[in-house]
Amino acid sequence: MTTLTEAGTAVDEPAGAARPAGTTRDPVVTAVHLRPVRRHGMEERFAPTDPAPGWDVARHPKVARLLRNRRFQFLLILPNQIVFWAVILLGLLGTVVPGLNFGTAITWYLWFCLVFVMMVVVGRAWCAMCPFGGFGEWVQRRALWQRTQKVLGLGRKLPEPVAQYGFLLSVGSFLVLTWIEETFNIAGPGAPHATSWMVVGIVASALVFFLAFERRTFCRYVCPLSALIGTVGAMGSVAGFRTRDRDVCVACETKECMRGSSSGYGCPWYTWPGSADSNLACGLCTECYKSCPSDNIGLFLQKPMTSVVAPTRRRFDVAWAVAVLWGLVIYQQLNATSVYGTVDNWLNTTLHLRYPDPVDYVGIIGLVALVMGGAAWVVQHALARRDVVIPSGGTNYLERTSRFRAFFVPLMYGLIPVVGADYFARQLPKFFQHVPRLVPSVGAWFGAGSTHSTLYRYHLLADPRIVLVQVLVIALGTLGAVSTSWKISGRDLAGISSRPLAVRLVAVGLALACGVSAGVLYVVMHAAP
Amino acid sequence: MTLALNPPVADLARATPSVTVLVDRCAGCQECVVRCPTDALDLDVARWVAVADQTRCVGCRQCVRTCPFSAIVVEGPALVSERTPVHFAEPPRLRGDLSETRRGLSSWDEALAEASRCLECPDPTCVRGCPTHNDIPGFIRAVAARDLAEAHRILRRTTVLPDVCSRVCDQAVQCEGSCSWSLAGGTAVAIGALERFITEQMPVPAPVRAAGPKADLDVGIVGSGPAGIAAAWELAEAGARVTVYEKASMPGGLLGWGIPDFTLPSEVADRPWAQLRDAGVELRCDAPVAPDDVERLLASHDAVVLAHGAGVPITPPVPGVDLEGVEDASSFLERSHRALLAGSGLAELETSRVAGAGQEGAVVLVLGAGNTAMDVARSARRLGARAVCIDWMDPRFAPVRPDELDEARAEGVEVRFNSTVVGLEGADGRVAVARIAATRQERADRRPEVLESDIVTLAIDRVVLAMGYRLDRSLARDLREVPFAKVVDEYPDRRWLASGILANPAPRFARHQPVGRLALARESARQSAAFPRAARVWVAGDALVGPSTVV
Repeated sequence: MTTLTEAGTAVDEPAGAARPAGTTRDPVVTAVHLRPVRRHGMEERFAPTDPAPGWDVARHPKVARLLRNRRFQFLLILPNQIVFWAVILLGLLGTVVPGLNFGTAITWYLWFCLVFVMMVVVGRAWCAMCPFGGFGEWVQRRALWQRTQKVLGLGRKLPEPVAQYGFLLSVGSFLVLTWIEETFNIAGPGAPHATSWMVVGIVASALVFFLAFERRTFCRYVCPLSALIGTVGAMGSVAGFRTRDRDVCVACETKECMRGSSSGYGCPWYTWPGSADSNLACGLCTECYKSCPSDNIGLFLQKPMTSVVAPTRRRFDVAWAVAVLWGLVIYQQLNATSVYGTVDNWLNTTLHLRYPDPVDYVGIIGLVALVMGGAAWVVQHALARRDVVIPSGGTNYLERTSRFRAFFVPLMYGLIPVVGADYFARQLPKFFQHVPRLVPSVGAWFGAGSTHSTLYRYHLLADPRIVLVQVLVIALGTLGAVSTSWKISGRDLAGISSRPLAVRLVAVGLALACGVSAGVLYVVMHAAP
Repeated sequence: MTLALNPPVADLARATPSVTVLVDRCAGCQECVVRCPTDALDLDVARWVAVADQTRCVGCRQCVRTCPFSAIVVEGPALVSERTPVHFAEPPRLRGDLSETRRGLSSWDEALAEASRCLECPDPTCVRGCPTHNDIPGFIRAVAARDLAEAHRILRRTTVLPDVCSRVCDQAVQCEGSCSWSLAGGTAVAIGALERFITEQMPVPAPVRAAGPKADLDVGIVGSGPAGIAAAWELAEAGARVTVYEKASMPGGLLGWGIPDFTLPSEVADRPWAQLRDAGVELRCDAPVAPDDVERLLASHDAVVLAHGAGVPITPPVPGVDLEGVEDASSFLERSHRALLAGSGLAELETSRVAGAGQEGAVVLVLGAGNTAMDVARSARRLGARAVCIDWMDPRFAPVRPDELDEARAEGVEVRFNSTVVGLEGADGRVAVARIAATRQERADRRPEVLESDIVTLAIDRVVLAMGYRLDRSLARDLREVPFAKVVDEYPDRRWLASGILANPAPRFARHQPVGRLALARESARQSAAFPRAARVWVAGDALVGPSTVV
């Protein structure tokens, strides 16, 4: 309840407290009679996904001070911002030798590998420091770190016909970007200016979206990496910003974490710490933490894989994202084998297309995704209990329920670790073989770098050791997927299957099959970059 | 609540609102659930998203306005009955007529029908849109229960002038403009008419002097207008000794002479002071308080309240404004009020020096088209003069009450928008000609552009300046404390955002004026008021925040 002091300032006091002498009751507060919030079942609903209070790193005063500082995220983004503008400029103006050009070297030998490490270890760590979204946000907010009231742009919301598909738009843009990358051999790395134009393209499209739409609509829905980072990032050990006491959040009448306050913006990622049950959509930007008037938000760590296994509300779009992203990484592996080269040539000659022809690009990805879907369909057809009634959800794309979805979604979630491991392993050849080139690429600025230098030709590891590491990574990912599939199927599928043990074994078998396929492909690929 | 379709829809099958929750963005925060007036929203615990009962939704769109993530969409009509129409009266003979032209609800049936349109919103935006935050759903509920005493008790918490405000407030841009129905694009509950109905059915209860706690307190109040009335009322009810100093010969400030009887009848305007005097408040008229006197007042009273209003008229910076025949609205209204009450006229308005005027009265040019300008023009008409109002704003954006504009035009006042005076010319030292330029205004937030090339002349007899007022700070000039300005958080209280009042930028019902921001600006002005303060000195009303509405 708010009262006014003699000086006319509003003071909050607990409802029912005796009013201090000399105060008058706020007439607005007297007239407001909000309906009671629904709390029934709240604790049970969130118990599986709430991190324990001891995992809240924001309890430490130094961490708290850092998170509360408005310059914190700016300083995280700034180095990456500098690097990527350097990438653009050097790609256009620097040496045309990809291995010697700092722009291509840092992007494809180091950055793309590091992003996966961050995903798997933390979650959306890259999103917190991303220069593309960061740049768009600086322009939109008209400030580098200050809390401004008037933002630039049209401030539209993503229309429902598109938004209802959640992260699938991001998957789509990742497929398009990868196809473009293949067409122009950007990540080869090919000609440095191709990398520059790709980065310019990403920055430009980010800017357009930041100026057309509110908050981080681009980052959540459109960014090519969003679905990948959100999905694979579920393996990460950072739960994100979450409520400390959900009762306080639910009773809060102002929700500054969502609307913003004078200290911070409302969540740009459309996430409410009071109901976040995974790290899928927390961009670690700290705005909610800064805005909360009740000091009721913490930054929580979690055991790895928690956001894969624990959530009770799983998303259909994430499930298809896993299937399609799996298809894409398998395509990339197949693409790198010599066998594929023959098939591809035949296809190109017959269809009069040039590489990468969309037929096998879409075809292979689609086929793999359909195989995953098909496997789930077979499982539910064979093992679903006929007497179990799947409770109906909404009419929305994400919320519709069916027997297929009831099996498909948990099965796909279980595969996240092997998908993440495969994407990571895919980047390793470039890293191990060529990351030392960063040094001569810096030297090239001063005219001192050369393709003849030792470091230019130095490999940290070579085939077959790289393959060994890749297989090891896949093995670890497969073990992870076996574990998550076992747990997820036990909780979500055993109860609706006629043969609970069988369904769990099938889930584990699917994970193993994926892992083995990827592992074998790496062997066949011979560390092709 | 009475349900009917507004606007009426021929095909009933398509005639109900539909609610869609965008589950991708819905975070289950329940902001919509706790605010739905018809309890049409609930939380699905398993999915932790809002769910809607389509059969209960009435299309008020509170949920849409309050959702922090814009995760709910409502389509379809607003299910509310038509508002009870109330027409103004047109006197058959205008000359000397003082009868009130504005009407209220005429029967309990009409009042109950109107009261039933109120949703009794859990987070009522009308309360926020009212600058004094009357508990509007509360008094409407009392009307619905036919409990007038309770209605008055509720009103008394926040206002002592419900009979006045219900007549003179521009509800369309305040409480009614902020009504959920208005914010949803429909027609608001007739809050002003209901407030007036309460005061017509049962008079405003007189102040009851309490015994005890503040009996030793002696307070001096400077100014007997609305703010002075409210201060005196509160203090008298607390048992204090109150002395009010008024520079004019009659009390009430703007209420006394500034608003003519045909808008605010004298029995309504006089009611507050009649009751205050009966309650023992000492009123000293013809007692101006100069800046030097404030210290003296502080010596003879325990506390002083400065409620002297914002009375310095704004004068246009045009040549000829100092010619004879040019006066400000306050002085004109005072004189015309006395003349109309006495049944006489004003000599200078009876005839015109304009060539070819014949037997018609003087041509009075009124600068402005706000409440004051309308009152001036309509008073002039009742004194036999011709009246032309000009306003430099575009009619789409000018803050003129449409009903007042209709009343004025029905009474023969000529109102011209997109016009401004660029010069006044005289003959023999008296104003005779106005040079009027056209203006162009493309947007509400832009100043009109004066088109110097397009100037017409108008032969006139008198000019009345009704362009608004500003503060006179001279009264506090000699107080020793330094100016006291509070730092105002430039971001509105999140409770305001949560209520949804700021969500609709410019409701059609509110003539596309930003309703929430108007009331919020008052709050901010109150917080940021920079007025020199001293110990035991309080400031209230327009003297604190600058020119504003009566409420």
